[in-house]
Amino acid sequence: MSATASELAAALRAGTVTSAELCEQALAAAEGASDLGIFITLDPAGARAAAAQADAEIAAGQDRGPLHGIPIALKDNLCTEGLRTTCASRLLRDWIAPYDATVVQRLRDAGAVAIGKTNMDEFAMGSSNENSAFGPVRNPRDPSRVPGGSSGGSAAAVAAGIVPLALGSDTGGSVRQPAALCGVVGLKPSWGRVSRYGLVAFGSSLDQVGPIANDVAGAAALLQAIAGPDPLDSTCSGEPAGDYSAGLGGDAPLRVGLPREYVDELSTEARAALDAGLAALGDIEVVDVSLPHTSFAIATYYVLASAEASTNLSRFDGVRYGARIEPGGEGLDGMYTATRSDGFGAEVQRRILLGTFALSSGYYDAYYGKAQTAREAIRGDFVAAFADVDVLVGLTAPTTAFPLGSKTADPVQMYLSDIFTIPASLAGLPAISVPVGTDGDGLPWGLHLIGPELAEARVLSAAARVERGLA
Amino acid sequence: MSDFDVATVHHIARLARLRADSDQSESLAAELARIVDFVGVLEQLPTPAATFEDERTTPLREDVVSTTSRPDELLAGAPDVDGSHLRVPAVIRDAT
Amino acid sequence: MTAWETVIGLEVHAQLKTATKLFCGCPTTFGATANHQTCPLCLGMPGTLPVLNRRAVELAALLGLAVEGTVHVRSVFDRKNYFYPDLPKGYQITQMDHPIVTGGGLWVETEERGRRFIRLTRIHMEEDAGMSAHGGAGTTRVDLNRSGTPLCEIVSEPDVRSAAEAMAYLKALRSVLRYTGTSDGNMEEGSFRCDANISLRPVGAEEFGTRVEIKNLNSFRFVGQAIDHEVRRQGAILESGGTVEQQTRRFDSKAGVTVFMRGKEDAHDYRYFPEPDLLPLELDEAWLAQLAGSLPELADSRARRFASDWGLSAVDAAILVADRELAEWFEAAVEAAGPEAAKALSNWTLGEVLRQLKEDGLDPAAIPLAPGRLGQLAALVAAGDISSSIAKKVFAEMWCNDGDPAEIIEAKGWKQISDTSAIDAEIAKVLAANPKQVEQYRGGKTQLKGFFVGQVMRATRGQANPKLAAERLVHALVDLDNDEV
Repeated sequence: MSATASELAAALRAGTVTSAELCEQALAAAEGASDLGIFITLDPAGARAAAAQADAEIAAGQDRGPLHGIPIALKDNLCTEGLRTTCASRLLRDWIAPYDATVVQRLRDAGAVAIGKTNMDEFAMGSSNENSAFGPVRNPRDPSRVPGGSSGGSAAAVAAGIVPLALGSDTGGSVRQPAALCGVVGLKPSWGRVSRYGLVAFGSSLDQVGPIANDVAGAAALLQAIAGPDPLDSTCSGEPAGDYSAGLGGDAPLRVGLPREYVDELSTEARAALDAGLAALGDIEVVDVSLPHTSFAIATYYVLASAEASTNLSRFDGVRYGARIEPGGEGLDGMYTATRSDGFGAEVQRRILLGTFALSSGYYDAYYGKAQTAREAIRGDFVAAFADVDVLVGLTAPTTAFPLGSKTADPVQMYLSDIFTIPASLAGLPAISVPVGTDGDGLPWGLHLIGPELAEARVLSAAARVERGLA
Repeated sequence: MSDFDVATVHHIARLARLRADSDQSESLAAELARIVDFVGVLEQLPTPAATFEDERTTPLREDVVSTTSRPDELLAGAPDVDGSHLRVPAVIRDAT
Repeated sequence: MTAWETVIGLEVHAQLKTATKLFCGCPTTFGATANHQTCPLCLGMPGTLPVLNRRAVELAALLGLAVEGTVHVRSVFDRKNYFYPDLPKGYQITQMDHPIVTGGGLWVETEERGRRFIRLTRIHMEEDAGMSAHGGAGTTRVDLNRSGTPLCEIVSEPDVRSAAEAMAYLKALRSVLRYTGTSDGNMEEGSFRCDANISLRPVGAEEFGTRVEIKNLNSFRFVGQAIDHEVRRQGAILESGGTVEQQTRRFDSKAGVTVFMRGKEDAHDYRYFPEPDLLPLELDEAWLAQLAGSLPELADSRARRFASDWGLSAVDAAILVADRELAEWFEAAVEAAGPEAAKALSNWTLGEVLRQLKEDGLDPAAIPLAPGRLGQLAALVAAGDISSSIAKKVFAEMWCNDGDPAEIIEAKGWKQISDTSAIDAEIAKVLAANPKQVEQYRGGKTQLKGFFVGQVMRATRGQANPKLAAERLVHALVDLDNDEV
């Protein structure tokens, strides 16, 4: 399905296609692409029922908006009542949430047709989608390469043409980096723009659900459906959602900041992709800016996200839900340790240990405390920069999709994949990745646009200019 | 070199209820030491005074019952129950 | 031999009196079937998020105002991390570095040490854990109904110096909790739980000794017993030249001793850090001021006023103020009757009112009598319209139907006989009917006067004015003597 969400919406209303047909196409495409490991769970029955309902409603003249009847894929860390939510972990292989995530509920209300749950790095920890208990996801552009992570399944589902839209989650780049590596659009909203209720937490102060789409308008429509206040999430902003589609056609002059820290070490090929993106933006003034604390960002991120993850994942203890592994005779602690050690994958355990260490007595100030300080400094960098520019521009990732297995041996090398996406996560800012050409191997680059807090409409509008400029 | 040695790995793993078998703990210590060294860059950062300007604050909920009792659904995925109680192995030594 | 001073700090967990839990809309009712009062959040399910209960915040702030602490406009929730099956998330949401209240204190009075101010370190909000119990065959059964119930933890400075003072402090604290309506303070149902930190130091020393924490003291009596035992235990160690080890102990109430739980080396590393699922709590200054205006006068101040304004004894005043409803009822009674009646009303309240409440199994909130009634009754006694023994009968009638005492007396025909001729007539009958006793009286056994008065009262079914009867009786007996001569 290479058509965009808005094209499909128009066709549905024109009666040239039905939601049931779209649903069957999507399910068939998902089955056909099973070698790519994109889905953990497909939900043909649920999808067909939702499609039938959408068709009936559309026929009766009831219009739920631009997502009505459109097939969509959900990252498998979004709780879905009645359909398992595994987080790509052995621990939750059979866990069925007794509730929907707020974003899932809103998509149901918008009439979207969820066809299944996508593969991911376990508990959203990873940049390559190789950390899944259900096997890796492969990049539809080149199956020998990774799709990026952790929302690799969602990005690949859109890139493979299975669905025009998918939801991912982004903690340090997990929507944007796979979107870039798969050649699709991915937006991380401001922290607090979209409810986290029912998103299985990784790093709570960083996590955001974000749209992935085969065009910018699709991402805007999907954000529109899920954004806005939620009484179930205390950290969700009380500001009502903006109108994310209205300004997509705008082409007013823009002041674009080019942070030298994001540009300095780019390869020639990467720099060319960035320049293509700048050219595509049209009427802009490029301003040289500095984000001086960028060099602290990755370390800050790995301390804070891991610290939060270490306690967010304490609830997986084999007591109330999920798998339990009982060695027998070793009592409660034996059960805890066996369940967690055999249930979590290596990367998850590594981050729990790092996070536990960063919070532990005697080390808190040196690690967690320092990281909080650094985070404030990084936020301050952005505040200063946005006093002078409308958006900041760089590349989403320093490289295009890399071969499977090429970085798994060295966690630090893997962490460096997120060097451009992490600062905006730490600052809680909206940022989008939009395709900006390909490298010599035909692998896509993503242009990364960052806006001030709650300026989702602005980054979407800028991304739409790039999209138009390259068309 | 960082603070992360085998003894630290054992202590941290115990806190996190993760296994740190002796054959793994050395490589794990080395791996974590590299990560900890990597985040050691934070030490170079000066500590400014904390500020709370323009901070969002937590919303409050009215004190009204808003949930319904549905223990059968909520306990459906529990590994072991005894009636409507959850059942776990007993504590053998005091938890730390 | 060194003289040792006992140093005690107390940590109380009191359940805040809300309808729902601290972070979800589940009810807090005590005694439901296991796990029937839970939701996905109570079970720590993935993706669930806490939303703070306004009423819990209000109650914690009210308590802070009541103890004259600083109620902070900004406070922060933290995670306290440890694994236990009754802790569903693997962490407890509490307040560590920025609690809602700091400072303040309570006046407590003991015979041995007099009136002293015990300072508070802090009061913070936190969620309760669930309950786990032995399940047989090497298992534990877990009920998460209590999980998430709102608590406030009240931490005192190490200002308490004896078991008696600790108990006085706890009673004073419970009184404040009840007066402000912040908590039931019910130790039996676990809505008021206490940990005690105890150390000894040589008298006059500045530095504190090594402290031992005693966990989960669940009655006032146990608090006293546990402290007494722990003081003796530490004293014996120090006297023999040993050193006290920092440890956590529990109280074995059957044996009356404290028992080792864990040592310093097993101390928990709770890895506190700010709860990222909740933003900082900010209180509105105007709302706080409004809350302060709603604060009732507390027991301590009220008792001192009762004593100074109305001349009540400290002991009587303390009993009258122990319960807010009783104190308010009593105060309304005095207001209706005037301050000169306070002493009589105090006697009535401490006597008949409390006796009737106990007999009927009622709380002071349920006193069936309008406060003004008691003053009416006391006025009738003071005016000599009824005797105090009749007054008790009138009181019993009033209690049943909040009746007007004057009407009851009228209806029952209980009005006191103060008519001299009527009493003289009764006296004459009594003397005539008891010639032997009259003889003895005249023989010098003057203590028989009481017997004659009693007979007169009996003959008038208690209605004769006893004072008048006694006077007339003396006259009558003197007249008898004169007649003989």
